[in-house]
Amino acid sequence: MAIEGWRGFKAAVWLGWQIDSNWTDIFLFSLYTIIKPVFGMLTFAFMYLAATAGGPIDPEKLAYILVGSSLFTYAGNAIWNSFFAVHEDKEHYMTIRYLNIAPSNFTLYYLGRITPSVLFSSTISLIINLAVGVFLLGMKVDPTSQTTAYLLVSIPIVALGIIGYALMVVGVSFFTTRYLWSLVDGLTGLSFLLGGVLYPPTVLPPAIKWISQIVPWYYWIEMLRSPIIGSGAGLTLSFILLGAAFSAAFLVLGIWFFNWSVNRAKRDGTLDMVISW
Amino acid sequence: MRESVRTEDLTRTFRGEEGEIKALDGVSLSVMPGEIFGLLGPNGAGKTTLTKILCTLLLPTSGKAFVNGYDVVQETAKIKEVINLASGGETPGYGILTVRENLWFFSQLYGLSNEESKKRVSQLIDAVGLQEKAKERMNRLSSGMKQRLNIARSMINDPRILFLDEPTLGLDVVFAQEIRQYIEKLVKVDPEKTVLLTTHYMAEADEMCDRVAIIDKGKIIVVEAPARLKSLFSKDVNLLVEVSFIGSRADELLKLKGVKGLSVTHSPEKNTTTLKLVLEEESTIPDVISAIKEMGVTMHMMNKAETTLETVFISLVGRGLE
Amino acid sequence: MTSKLDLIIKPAFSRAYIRIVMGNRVWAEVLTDSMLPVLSLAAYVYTYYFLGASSQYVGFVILGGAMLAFWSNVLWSVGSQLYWEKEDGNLETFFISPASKMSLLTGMAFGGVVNTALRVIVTIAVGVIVFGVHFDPSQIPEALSVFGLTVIDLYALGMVFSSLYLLYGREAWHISNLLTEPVSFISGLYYPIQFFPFWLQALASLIPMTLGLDILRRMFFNGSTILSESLEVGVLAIMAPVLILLAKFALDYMEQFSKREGRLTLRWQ
Repeated sequence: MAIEGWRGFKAAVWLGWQIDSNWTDIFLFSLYTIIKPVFGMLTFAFMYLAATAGGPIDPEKLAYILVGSSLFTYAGNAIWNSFFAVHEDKEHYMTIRYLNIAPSNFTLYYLGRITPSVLFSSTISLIINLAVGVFLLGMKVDPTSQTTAYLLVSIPIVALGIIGYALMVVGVSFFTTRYLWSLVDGLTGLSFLLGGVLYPPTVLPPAIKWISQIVPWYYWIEMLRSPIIGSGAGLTLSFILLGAAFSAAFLVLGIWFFNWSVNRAKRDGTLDMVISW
Repeated sequence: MRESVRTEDLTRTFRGEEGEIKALDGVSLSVMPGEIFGLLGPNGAGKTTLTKILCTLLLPTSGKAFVNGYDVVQETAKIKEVINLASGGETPGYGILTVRENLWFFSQLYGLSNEESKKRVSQLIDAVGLQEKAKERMNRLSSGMKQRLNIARSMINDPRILFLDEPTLGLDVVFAQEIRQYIEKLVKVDPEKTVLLTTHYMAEADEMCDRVAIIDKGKIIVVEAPARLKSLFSKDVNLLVEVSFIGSRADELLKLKGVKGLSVTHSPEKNTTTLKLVLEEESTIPDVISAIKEMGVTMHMMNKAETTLETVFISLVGRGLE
Repeated sequence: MTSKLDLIIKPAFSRAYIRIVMGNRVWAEVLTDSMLPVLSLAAYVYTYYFLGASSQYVGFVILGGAMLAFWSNVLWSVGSQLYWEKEDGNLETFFISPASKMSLLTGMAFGGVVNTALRVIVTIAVGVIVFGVHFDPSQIPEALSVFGLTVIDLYALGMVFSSLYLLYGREAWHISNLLTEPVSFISGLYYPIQFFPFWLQALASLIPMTLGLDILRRMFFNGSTILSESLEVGVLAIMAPVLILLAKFALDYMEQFSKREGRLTLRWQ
């Protein structure tokens, strides 16, 4: 069972990578991997320039925005790819029933499927963005040994949280149609708005500011951003513990919800039903 | 009288990873109005490629093809007004629209007026037995019903030339028979109509087709009426043998002198293999029996069979449709 | 008797009709499609607040969001529609019918505009009610004309893209995906492009959205009129027929090319 699960996971990672990359040659794929995140970041850079036209550059604000937007790639990829993985298997490739009846672990399959985009592509985007930000845009990042330690502690915590979050999205996807991608767009939008990505939640109006406290991305992004920028000393133990609590909660909830969703979809007869237009 | 379909030395090649693949190789045939014309061949023989060229979905590499007298390359607009296509196993349409809405939409692609469209849609819904599902969304239909809808869609413009690519694939036996009768009636009632039918079901081709073309590896082997083909090959000796599971060793029987062709069907649940052999003469039978015995398998049954379109196919192509 | 006009008008009408019906049949989708994109947009507004930008910039974001709604629809609905039709098995039925392909695409485009309109209305309403953006009412008639002209140009561009999808499958989908951020950046969705170097501004002006947004911003926030912006409006006006002709040419060419290559009905590319 363990061997089947592990092999299934590896095969799923390979499959996810093939689907993400084998539509073109390596040159175009590399261009694709670089262009998307860089232009995304440049949009924010020019927003900064436009808003502060003629004024002095505030390196902390610039770094806050650019690093935050770069880190949000993990969120975007986790949400979108989790959703589309199910819909592609269900409605495009129509392989979901065969995946489910195979002895390898269905949960591990989906985790493997989204690993290339969430882990590899997002990390490459982050590195490229940081390089462009530092060398071309004059962004200041100043990690120290202390902040590096914070980062090393934060990475596995955030990674586990993202796994749980992704499993929840996969679970929800069993009940949606291909064309409810706007729901996923909305989830991304909500996380973007309230997750402290481009601005601290203090900027938000009081009526919605408090919601940020229960959006996991607020913690996960800040736990990674602060050490990178070098203001990691600002991270408190309670903040990190809250982030870890969210990770644990999402991990447990994610695994449970995924399994519940699969069983429910089987009961409703919709697991392998093509609902496309 | 103008031919419904005519091809002249039609060739189509595709570029594969291992070089060029000739899907059609110098195909020349003609089909007259009022005919139900069958295209029989194993998988990959070129039947669908030929159908796609005639439907203007694919360009030929060389040669010419004419549908209703119009060139498939130069005069596509004129061809499109008089043809339609239904591919078995495919169910084009919009899942979120109802049966009636789907048919209405496709009628508009042919410029039908609302009145004509309404009448035609209702007729077709009755003809394919979807009256109770007319207001149901397509994504809620069973696959058999989706296929009925597909067939109805293919008749929406009352096409002069109808291309049916395995139309009864996936249909239940009763409805498949109804469809065959409907197609036969179409042509009987209007002798200007033509149907080009590709099928794997020999019995279907035998029952329905006025003439069949047997195609293999992109080449037309013979074009003839089923009855005439059977009479031409009536001297063949057709043997039906059931043995214990034989696997790929069955192909060795093809090496025997006097064996014209062989069709092999394995039945894993019964652990048996059914062999349909076509022999030049009866004197080959003992050699076949010896060869089977040497393979160490048990012979459960052996019968002589009548000449059918299937045995003609095996004789000409050397193997069955498997 | 079916006339040539029937084969142009009826397919366009029916394709628009079913697009509108399909787009509004699932109430959940109508709600999510029209309301949820406002969340991302709001994040851009609050970013400007964080940066201490003037209130004018909030207006820029709202206008940019409204235009983005159409651009997304162009890219993902009109542009890639033939890809989805192919995957769903409908493309063959279109290509063997005598219906004009351009009229089918026009129908899709029109249906897309109707379906997107609600999202745009919600975006503007949120801008005005929640974020207090003020659009000079006297400018609205002229601004709507410019907006409409820009949208026509965008959809004509979408028709050009759609021809690519006849030949390519997943590559075209990924190219659409690839274009989203660079086009948003270059067209200055959320900021004026005056901050770009001249050569980049010139390049950006090739995208109808850039010109359209620029004119609209100046109309609403600087009091410009169609007359004072006649050069840019003129360019937008010329773009429409040029792009439509280009779309026809590209569609015909790609259709023949993909039939020659045997890829017209090839799925799962």
